[in-house]
Amino acid sequence: MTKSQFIRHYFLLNKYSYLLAVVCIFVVNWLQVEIPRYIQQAVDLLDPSTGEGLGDLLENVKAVIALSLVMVVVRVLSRIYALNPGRITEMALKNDLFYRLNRLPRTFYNQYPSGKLISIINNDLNGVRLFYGIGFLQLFNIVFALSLTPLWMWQISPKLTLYSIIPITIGFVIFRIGFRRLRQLHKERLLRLQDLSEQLMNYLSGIDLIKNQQMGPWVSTRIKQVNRRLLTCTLQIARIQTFIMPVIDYANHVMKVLILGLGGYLILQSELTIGEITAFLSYSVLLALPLMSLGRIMTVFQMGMVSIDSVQTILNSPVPDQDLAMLDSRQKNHLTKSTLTVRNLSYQYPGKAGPETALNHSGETEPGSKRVLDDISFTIEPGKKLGILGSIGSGKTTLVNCLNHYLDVAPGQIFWGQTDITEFSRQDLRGFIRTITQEAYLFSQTIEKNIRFGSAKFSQAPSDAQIDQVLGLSQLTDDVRSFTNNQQTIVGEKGIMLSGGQKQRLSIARALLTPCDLIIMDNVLSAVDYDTERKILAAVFRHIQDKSLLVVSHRISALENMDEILILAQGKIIARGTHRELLTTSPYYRETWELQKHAAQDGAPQGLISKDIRLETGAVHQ
Amino acid sequence: MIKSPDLQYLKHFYLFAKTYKKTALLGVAMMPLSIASNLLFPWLVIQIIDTKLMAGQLAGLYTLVFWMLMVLAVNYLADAFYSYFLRKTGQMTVFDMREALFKRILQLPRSYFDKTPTGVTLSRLTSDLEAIGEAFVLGILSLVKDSINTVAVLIFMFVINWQLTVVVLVVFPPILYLTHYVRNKLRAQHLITRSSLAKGTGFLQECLLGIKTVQLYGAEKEVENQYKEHTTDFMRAQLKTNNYDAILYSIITGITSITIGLIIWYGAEKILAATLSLGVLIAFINNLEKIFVPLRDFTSQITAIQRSFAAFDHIEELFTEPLEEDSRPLLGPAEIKDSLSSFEFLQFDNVSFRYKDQDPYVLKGVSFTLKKGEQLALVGTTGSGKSTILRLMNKVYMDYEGSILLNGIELSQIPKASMLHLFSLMQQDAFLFEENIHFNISLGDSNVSDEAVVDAAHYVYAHDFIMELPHQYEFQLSNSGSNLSAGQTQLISFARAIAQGGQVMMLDEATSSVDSITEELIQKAIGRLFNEKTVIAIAHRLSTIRNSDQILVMADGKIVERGNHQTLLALDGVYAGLLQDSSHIEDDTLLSA
Repeated sequence: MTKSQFIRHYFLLNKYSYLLAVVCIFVVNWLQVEIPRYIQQAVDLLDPSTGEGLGDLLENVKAVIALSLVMVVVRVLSRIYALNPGRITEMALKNDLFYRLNRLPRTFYNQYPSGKLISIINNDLNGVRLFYGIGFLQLFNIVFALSLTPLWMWQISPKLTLYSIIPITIGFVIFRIGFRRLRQLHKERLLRLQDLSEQLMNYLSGIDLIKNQQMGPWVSTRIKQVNRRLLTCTLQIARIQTFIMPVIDYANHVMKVLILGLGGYLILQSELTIGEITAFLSYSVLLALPLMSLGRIMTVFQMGMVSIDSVQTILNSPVPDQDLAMLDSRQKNHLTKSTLTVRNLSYQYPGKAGPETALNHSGETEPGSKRVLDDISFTIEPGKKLGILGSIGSGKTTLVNCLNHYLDVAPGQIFWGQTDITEFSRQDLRGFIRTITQEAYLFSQTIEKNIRFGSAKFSQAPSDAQIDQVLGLSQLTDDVRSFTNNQQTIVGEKGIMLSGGQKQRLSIARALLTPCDLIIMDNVLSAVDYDTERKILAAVFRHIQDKSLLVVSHRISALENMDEILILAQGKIIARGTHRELLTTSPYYRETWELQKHAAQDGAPQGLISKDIRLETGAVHQ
Repeated sequence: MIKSPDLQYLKHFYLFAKTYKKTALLGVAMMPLSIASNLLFPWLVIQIIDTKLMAGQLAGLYTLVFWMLMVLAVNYLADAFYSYFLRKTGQMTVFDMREALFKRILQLPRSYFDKTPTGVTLSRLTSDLEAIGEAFVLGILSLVKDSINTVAVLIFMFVINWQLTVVVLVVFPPILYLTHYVRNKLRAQHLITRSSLAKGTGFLQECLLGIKTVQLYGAEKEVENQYKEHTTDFMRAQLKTNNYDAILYSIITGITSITIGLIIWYGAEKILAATLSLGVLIAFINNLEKIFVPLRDFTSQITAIQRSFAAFDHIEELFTEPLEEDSRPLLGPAEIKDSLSSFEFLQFDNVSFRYKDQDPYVLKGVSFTLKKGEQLALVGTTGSGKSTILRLMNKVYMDYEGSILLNGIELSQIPKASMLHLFSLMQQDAFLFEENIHFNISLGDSNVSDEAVVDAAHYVYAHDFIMELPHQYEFQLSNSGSNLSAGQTQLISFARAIAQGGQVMMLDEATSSVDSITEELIQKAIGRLFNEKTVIAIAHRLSTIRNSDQILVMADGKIVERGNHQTLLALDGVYAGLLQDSSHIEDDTLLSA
């Protein structure tokens, strides 16, 4: 979508409201110049020399009051019709942005940290809102006011109009120059404020060292410098705001003096009446106000353009075509309970530009260029339970992220049924394959809502009994019972109120609540003890008997009962078979099994040193 | 409106502002000039109309015009200087307050930083002070000026013609009532807006951080619907706000012309009866704006000022937060004399410690002695109390029970400044300044010569990699040292500790893995330290532990085993068990813990 398409698209969203707004704005501006005419007539009828026409005068006064009341009502409408679309557009745009964000792939998120995205939605949308609201209102206000007012003035006295426009024009030029300078300064001030924040944040995070090394005076001088720069800039702004900006106000007053002086001369020449002077005085105000807002509206438009640009970085980021095309129910039925086939899967992370120069001296190969997965093949038929064992860096998690299409795999390697997973939407694929990730991510809602997360797309909402059931399956019932609010306990940001093990178990419960064809558990039981692990796995096995299961772990105890176990090392499958087979065929497997058996029996698997102390490999053999 | 307890908050502001009394007084001195010229202008308008225009007299018209221009010039200058001087006073005060607060923060105890997130402290120094500089200073300035001017204009009008003024005043009560009513409505809507915005943003943030979970669960539509509820709530409240705003704005702008109508209506007969001059009537018509516009802004100014009181409140908290060494009996330099010029021994005797009064103890009766030239390693799980020992030694925390003797003097009685030179800390997460490498080693201390910096780098084997960086020792660090690797960062912090010349090296060994070449350098550096210096180390690597004279195995705040590597192995207790476990199992959790 180009920028003009964007502007048009959201503009048309509120086209009727805008249409009504334009009509109302015109009426308000027309009444604004019309009312002084009645005042003029009333004042002229006051001339004691004529002494009559009190009745006509009252007519005029009534007209002034009546028109003023009408103006109040129409002005209310004009502001509602012109400003509300800004808010409506803001909301629509927020929802549209979120829709897009939800479908953008991992590569996008690598490029834009979430802080930046949130700042776009929070800050840049203000610019868009002003553009579509106040920008629109002021634009038409200015256009109508600046065309109608001089016209009405001209009708009274062309000469006086021409003269009185001089001071206001000069005033406007000065105001405009000051305004421009002010904008620069505001920008600069923002940067300096940012500098100050960064500097402060930096020193505050190093507070221990600073205090320990008694560097207080040094950091204080540094802060003083940035603080001083901020002050200088603030004072510059104050100078312009107090000396330059009011000039237009005073130009307006000078205009009044001119009207009285020159107009007075014209009255004495009987070319003008005192009423007309009164009307002129009112018009002078009507001319100054739109000129003042002219400066502001230009900023609104400029800011709006900048904001639209940054909003478009999100809206124009490409979502892969196949992700936007959802399967229909017939295709879905066809793909349900399919076999997952992995055929000669290789994967390497897309190479990044070389890391920091400082790192290069070590002569390491760049991390991006290595194959993380190399020629992996296996199948998971419906109902099959597959285990994957591997140590750190063996590529386990990468493999999982390929299977659920989190990473962009090349076509021709992973198939769901007969279909290549790169050929249909990720959202559909994840309806079949559900991944429980190593890092459980929870929302700061209640336990129940966290479990229900992702279940809204099913036509039938899971019952409370089902929730109780999955809590039981993941060995959470007792934990939840011990919380004061039970299932309604709020777990805090990212689940901070829960222990690591509780978080993992909650994410298991969440995954078990609604049906799917294949569950992938990526090292999810690392924070629970062996006993609980066994119970959970047994429960999961019972619960999803006919469904497929893929368990990734470095603990053999979690894999013993699998139909097949693959051993992954440095991205390759180095052995495969059942537990029994591997004990005889793979020395690595056997060794690991014996060590872990020993640890499990000790009952202190996460022993003192094992958590905290890293000893060189082979230390024991010394 | 402005409650009396609020005024107490201004105490500190006033104290700092006193320095700029002269500037402020200059500004205030402009006030009478501004008011006088503001009133003279309409008076001259009356004169022009009544004595010249209506009298048909041209003579003297231009003299009056000249005086009007003069009055305008004075008004402009007086107004500008009034605002400028007072704003300057305000900004300078804020500048000084920021500096004073920062200095104060540097002296706050660790416990303050434990309970206060850095972001909060930061916002005290930035947004709160900004609020004072903007909302408070500007709000007060315009409020004072507007109300004095309005009152002056009203008095002026009353003196000129009290009957017409009464007509204008009739409009006041309904308008005041209306603004008050609408403002209340607006305030209620603002609360809703703020909370729905906060909820929406919070939810959005969560979803974006957990986007992987959202996508893996196919919950896109679900979260979109929830988000839509938040944005719709927000929009509804905004639309209501907008409607109220529109009503308020339109009535205030419309009331001027309505009142003009009323004035003419009322004045007509009087003028015809010649008891009122046309000049007065026209002057009244032209002055109405000056009264009604401030009336509109009045309530919003007060709200802005009141909002700034929240900022004052926060600032006050910082000013009253007790300082680190407040009310602690400390020994003077005379009593300490030379006894702390070099390190002799450090003795923990039955030391217990907890971070807060109700908290469980993190150290329970810990006793040990570190003598000059010895190496001591602390071993144990996270939370076993190892780091607390280092913190107590550094006086980061002070309220311990039992006794800690440094060269025989109780640590709690030694002023921090006179003992810190004995210790050099090598931290796990070394903090680096965004300066060059040289600075990060010397820490800007002029006593550390250039050679000493290079020597220190040599000593910890950091020199070679530094020489390979662009600009070498002048290599500029960015983003807290993110352009160095984790291992290099550690080496810099080692070099820093050496260059600072402390006699006891406190080493908090890193657990994170680094590339193998740097790892080797770190090992060599640690090896050298253990051979040549007095060291107390939180140890994670076997080589570190093996070479130490004394190993303390900590668990749950207690020392459960002590001895050297050999004796502890022979004991076949916790330590031996730890070694076995950890050397075999090589798995994800272990390495990443």
